[in-house]
Amino acid sequence: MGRCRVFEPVSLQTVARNVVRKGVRKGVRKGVRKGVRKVVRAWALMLCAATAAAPASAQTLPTFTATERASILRHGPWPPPLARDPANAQDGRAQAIALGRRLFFDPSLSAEGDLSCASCHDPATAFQDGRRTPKYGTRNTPSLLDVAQQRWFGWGGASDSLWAASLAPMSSANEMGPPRLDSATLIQHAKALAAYQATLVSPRTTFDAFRDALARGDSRAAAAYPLAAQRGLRIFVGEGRCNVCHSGPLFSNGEFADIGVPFFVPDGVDSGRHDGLKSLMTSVHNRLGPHNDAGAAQDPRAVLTRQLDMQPRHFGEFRVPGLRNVANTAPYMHDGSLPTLADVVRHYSELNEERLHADGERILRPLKLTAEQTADLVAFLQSLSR
Amino acid sequence: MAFVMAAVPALACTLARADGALLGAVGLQLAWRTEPAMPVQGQPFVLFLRTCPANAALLKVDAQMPEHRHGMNYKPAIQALGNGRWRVEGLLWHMSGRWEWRFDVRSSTSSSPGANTGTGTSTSTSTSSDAPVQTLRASVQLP
Repeated sequence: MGRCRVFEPVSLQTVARNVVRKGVRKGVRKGVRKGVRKVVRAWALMLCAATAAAPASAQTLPTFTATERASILRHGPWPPPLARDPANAQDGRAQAIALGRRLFFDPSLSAEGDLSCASCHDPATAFQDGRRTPKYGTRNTPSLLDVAQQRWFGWGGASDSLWAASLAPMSSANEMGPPRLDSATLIQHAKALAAYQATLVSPRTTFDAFRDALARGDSRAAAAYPLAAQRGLRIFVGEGRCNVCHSGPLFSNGEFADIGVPFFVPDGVDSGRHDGLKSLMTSVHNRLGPHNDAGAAQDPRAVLTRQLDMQPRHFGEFRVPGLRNVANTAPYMHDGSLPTLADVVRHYSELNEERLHADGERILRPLKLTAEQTADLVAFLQSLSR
Repeated sequence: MAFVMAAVPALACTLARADGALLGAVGLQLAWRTEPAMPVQGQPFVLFLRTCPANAALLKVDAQMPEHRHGMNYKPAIQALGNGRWRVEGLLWHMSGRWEWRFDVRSSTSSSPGANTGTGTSTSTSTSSDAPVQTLRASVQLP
């Protein structure tokens, strides 16, 4: 009964009539017993509808406005069509994907022979490691699901392609490096690794089923979406304004933001996007460089790399992560400092505006959510996972 | 549109709504449109402009979110297509809400239309450098 909800008010008679008709028809076709079961279900549905339609009940349904519905629809459909990366000629090639999969689990790529990509990006934990931060480093290991849909890679966006981002840990002495392979071989390995990672896509979720039901006006299918998640969704696209940054099917605008998480690290400051931009703009492995398989002039994605603009406000900004599969990727934030989704919601609810250092921007404000609203928002976030 | 047109002095060339959304200033008309017609949040898009007189120089294009007090994360690249037509790329609006275009244009009302026929990424034109720079603005509510 907890899931007996309808998204929009419907006529009780209509629900009963349609369900009974279907039940009876089924009964004629497939036997009386099945037909009886359908009729019983029809009465159960009627009871659900009656519960949902009860006025002033604690189970009153959220009625989304046209604006809210439009916002919700923009978070799908899922999965989106895969777009090949022009900078990586290996992208989409079966042989490269197979090679990349093998390399991903191969510890011999590391200097000591004891570390593979999967050591930190564990498939069993949504391709991350579940730790606050890895043994070496001060940033949380991000999940690789849906990674190919990002525009910038890493918390500071130091890479503009998945293959270049895959090259970085193999080259870094703090991670798998220093490399034992020559540069050309490393780049080919990185492109195969990227081809494999491009196949890692989040599964559809209860939110996607709800969103699609909403798109086609199927209120009965929409009713399967838990009510708490619906209320949380309303906060997400409404007063919470979470979708200002967590937008689109990926629930990320692909850019960077300062959300008041401290950026001090043991040896100083993690400047986030500022440092990422410095690295990216000077890297020979960016889209403007000689390793772009399409050539910068023929790569439509190279435009944004060319037009990047270093601004003071980028100091302390970190990549806006996508929220798909978020319930399976704890802990949270660039430094892994928040253990649970409830902690994340509370962070925004009780936001310390004095910690924001983003040059006078006026985007974030404490949401001051009640305990019930916090639970609803968490329920919605959980519905983005499976 | 009627208001905009009424505020614009008579010019040898007159832009039409088919050229894009119209803006006017003293001795200057500008039409702008984007591809796609409504940018998608977080996705790059391209801006096309047409200026009248055609030898007006499009000096700068920028977009800000006044309510958020920030702009884009990218520096738009202006390409002169010739005959008062311009293409701008390197545009991405990363947040929903109100964005305000800012177009800085230098023009001389005595200039003859069609004088600028050059192409390339340079913003230099035959317009006199001592002509005043005019700023035209337009708002877009990004869903």
